[in-house]
Amino acid sequence: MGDSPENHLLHRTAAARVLAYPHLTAGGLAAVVLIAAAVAFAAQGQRSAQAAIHRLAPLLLKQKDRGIVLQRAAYREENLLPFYGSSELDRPVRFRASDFFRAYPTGFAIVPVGEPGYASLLELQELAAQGDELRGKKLVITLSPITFHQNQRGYAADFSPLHATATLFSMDLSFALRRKIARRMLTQPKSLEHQPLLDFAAWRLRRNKATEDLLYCILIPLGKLQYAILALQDHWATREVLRENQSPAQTPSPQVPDWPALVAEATEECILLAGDRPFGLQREAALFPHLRSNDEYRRTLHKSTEWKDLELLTELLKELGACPLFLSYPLNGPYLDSLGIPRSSRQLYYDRLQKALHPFQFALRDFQDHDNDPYFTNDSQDHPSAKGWIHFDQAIDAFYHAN
Amino acid sequence: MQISSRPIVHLILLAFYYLAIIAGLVLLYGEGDFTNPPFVYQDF
Repeated sequence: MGDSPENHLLHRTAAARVLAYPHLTAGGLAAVVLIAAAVAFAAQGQRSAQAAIHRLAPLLLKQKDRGIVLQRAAYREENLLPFYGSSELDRPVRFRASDFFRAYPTGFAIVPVGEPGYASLLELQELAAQGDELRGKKLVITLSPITFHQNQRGYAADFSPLHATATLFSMDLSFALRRKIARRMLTQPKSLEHQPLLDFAAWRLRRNKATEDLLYCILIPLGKLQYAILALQDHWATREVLRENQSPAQTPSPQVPDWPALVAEATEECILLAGDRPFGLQREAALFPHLRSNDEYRRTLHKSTEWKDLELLTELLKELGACPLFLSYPLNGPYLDSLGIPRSSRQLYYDRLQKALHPFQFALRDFQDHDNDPYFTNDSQDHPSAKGWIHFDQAIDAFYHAN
Repeated sequence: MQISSRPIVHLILLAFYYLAIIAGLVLLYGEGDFTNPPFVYQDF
């Protein structure tokens, strides 16, 4: 009856074994407690971000761009639409999408994500970090023609180790796609200067040899550990952001936009703001290198690495099952005509864009029918004016409500 | 009471000790750096 002498002996032996290595056992216990605390912290952090995302949605926050938590919270809300752009996001122009949809006029709000210098290679890492969260979800991505003449100038400044780690060690992406992305990342060595694990993993992937692939696979647990640490840091930083941004969420204010009237209003404003400046420009024109001659324009457009990155971005979106809308600004035809860059050269951009996106059957609005409209953009960097934004808003609204 | 004569208590205290070390390291070095070098947007 009760514990047999054999069982008693077994328990005493097991306990003795544990107590024979007190430091190891204590260290293991401490690690288990820490991991449990980290998991609980991350879960609570995501819940807090979810509860706060509507009041943070229209704000331009660095943590939203550099992290994962806030974007993930946005994707989990039906009436929030992530909008990936670059410098146009932080210019206070009337009818800017984040402002236009702030009060959920047609049932949803925009979540702007991006910083000056953002282009496809950064955006694809940002989206890869969301992984399966993107499946079946709508999002908007803007494309600026100027980025197809400037090869990744903003990359190192906007590089996120968290996104890069999530991308290179993502199990949601095919091996082939990870390899292609690694090759592109290695063309920006400055960004990997202080990232030894990422650099090592990218080189292993790049080489396309069985032994190198095996080495990469051995690295995966280490990559996942690095990702977990960076993700916890993201949660911590997001906590600070939530504490600093306490203003209440906007109350929804439904209305049916009168698009023709809004376009007319925006056009009037653009004419006023342009004043005496020709070609609808609202600031002094900056003569970028690619605008100096028609040959230079065609050469830089043809050779741009942005096309390769756009291809990777579309492959990634396809693999993750996302539903994007691509919005491209049109070129300022009258201005470029004055510089000796004719429509036939500009058409190369529109045609190549259509060709790049057509195989994936993603929604695209390139507004090339506004190529001769001097008021769509307001400077020589293709930033949208009020008129440009209202057209964008209309396209975004139609996209959100389409099946 | 001597801790050495109560191995379970010793183990628990050791576990707290290691937890304190790890927690201290996390507090000292755990905060991430999400800043980046400034980007000169235009250079022409």
